[in-house]
Amino acid sequence: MIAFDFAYSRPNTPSEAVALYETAAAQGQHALYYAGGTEIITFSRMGQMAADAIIDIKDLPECQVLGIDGEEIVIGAAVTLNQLADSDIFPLFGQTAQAIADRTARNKITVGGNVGSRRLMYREMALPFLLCDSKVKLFGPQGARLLPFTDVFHHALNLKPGELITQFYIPRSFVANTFVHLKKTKQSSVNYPLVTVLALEDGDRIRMAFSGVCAFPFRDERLEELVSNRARPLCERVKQVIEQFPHEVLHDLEGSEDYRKFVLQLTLEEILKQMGWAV
Amino acid sequence: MSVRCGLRPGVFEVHVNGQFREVVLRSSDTLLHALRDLGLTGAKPGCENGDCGACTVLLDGVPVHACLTLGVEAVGHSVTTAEGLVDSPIRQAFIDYWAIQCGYCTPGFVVVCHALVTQCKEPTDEQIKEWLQPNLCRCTGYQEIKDAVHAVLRHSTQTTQGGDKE
Ligand SMILES: Cc1cc2nc3c(=O)[nH]c(=O)nc-3n(C[C@H](O)[C@H](O)[C@H](O)COP(=O)(O)OP(=O)(O)OC[C@H]3O[C@@H](n4cnc5c(N)ncnc54)[C@H](O)[C@@H]3O)c2cc1C
Ligand code: FES
Ligand code: FES
Repeated sequence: MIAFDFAYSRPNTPSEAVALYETAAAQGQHALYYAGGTEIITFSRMGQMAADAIIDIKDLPECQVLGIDGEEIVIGAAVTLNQLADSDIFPLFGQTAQAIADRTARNKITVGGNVGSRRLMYREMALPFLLCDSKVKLFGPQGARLLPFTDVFHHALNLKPGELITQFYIPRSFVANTFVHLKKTKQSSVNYPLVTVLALEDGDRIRMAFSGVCAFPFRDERLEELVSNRARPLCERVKQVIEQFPHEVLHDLEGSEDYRKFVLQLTLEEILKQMGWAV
Repeated sequence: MSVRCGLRPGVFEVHVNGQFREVVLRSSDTLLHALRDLGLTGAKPGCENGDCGACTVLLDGVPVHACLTLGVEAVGHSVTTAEGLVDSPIRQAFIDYWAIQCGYCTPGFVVVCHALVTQCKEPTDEQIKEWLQPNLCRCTGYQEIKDAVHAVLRHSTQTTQGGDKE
């Protein structure tokens, strides 16, 4: 049971959603946008999260869009992970989505909610956006703005008060690129990642983004240079990546730092072999 | 439809198992508890954390965890619980194939299996695994549950093929 009460609204337009947010904020209340609600319900039930006003954005038509617009793929923020994966619109995104949680949970978890997750550090759906030069459309008290994804997502989502994501835009040109998604968990396949690596071939370079290894998801171009340097043998490239890893590697109940590094090493080797970049 | 629910409990109309039912809800009540307050105790509280699947119901035909859904989210949508599937082939197959031991997980499994056999006509083993994975059976009757699913799928294939011949 959630031990506190909140006001719940399910508006039909982004302006209505933002107005509800501003009204709550003007009264000193804590308002939260709500999409799948899986994180909000879980942490509210445990008493680790609270809100006075919940604004459910699932019915906003722009947040439900999933399709192609000219040279871009458009994904609404309230599209569920299963809708995205089942659509097969972009397998890189579909495979990433399909590896998160379980099928029933993915009927509720939304793309925007996963990227916007505050309590859980994994945010695995951010990985393909980080790799594909994506843009994000926001709506807030100042109206709409379209920004590069990396401008609002640095380890976690960073929006202005009252802003919400309505849509993501991805250049279609990336659809043809080779990619590999590997998620390694401690035990069952449905679990948080020990290591998730998403790799995308881009000409003479491999782009790579990580979740589970550190306390946040990220892409690092320096690591990409190391891994893409075919002049060096595979094992040496991977060793360099592990040695020069730019952030502290997690050391928790899921796995020690050493174990995570070991799993990361094997994962990177597997990825490079699968992509034909082993030599 | 724009839906609003204030800080106090309100009376809401929810479409459950083909009928409109009135339910008194706090906006922070989960759908799981809203349904159980209506006497529909098929959806079971297990983990209440999205981990066990005992609370699975269909929201507009799609399996969701009722413990990770607010009751007010169901307003304007249609909910199906295990009680709404008493005449379904999968329910009978659970009986025929002994897919029940203590029974605690059974309503959740019946709901998700019903969605699977009605929405995926010829699922691969991989798809069956994916659909059933969210549900746990601590009595470990997984094989019998899969047998029940295969029986319904076989029967519907035979019926379709029979229909084609006619
Ligand atoms: C069984 C289970 C297993 C899981 N396994 C994984 C896993 O392996 N990997 C992983 O990454 N995650 C995993 N998760 C976590 C899950 O990803 C989060 O609970 C989920 O991402 C939240 O999405 P939601 O749509 O339910 O968001 P909500 O709970 O609705 O919201 C989450 C946060 O995002 C904000 N938000 C939502 N939509 C928007 C928007 N459009 N614009 C701005 N902010 C927004 C909300 O205000 C809130 O702060 C798992 C969850 C479950 C239940
Ligand atoms: S009670 Fe809902 S998933 Fe366990
Ligand atoms: S029959 Fe006992 S938990 Fe499944």
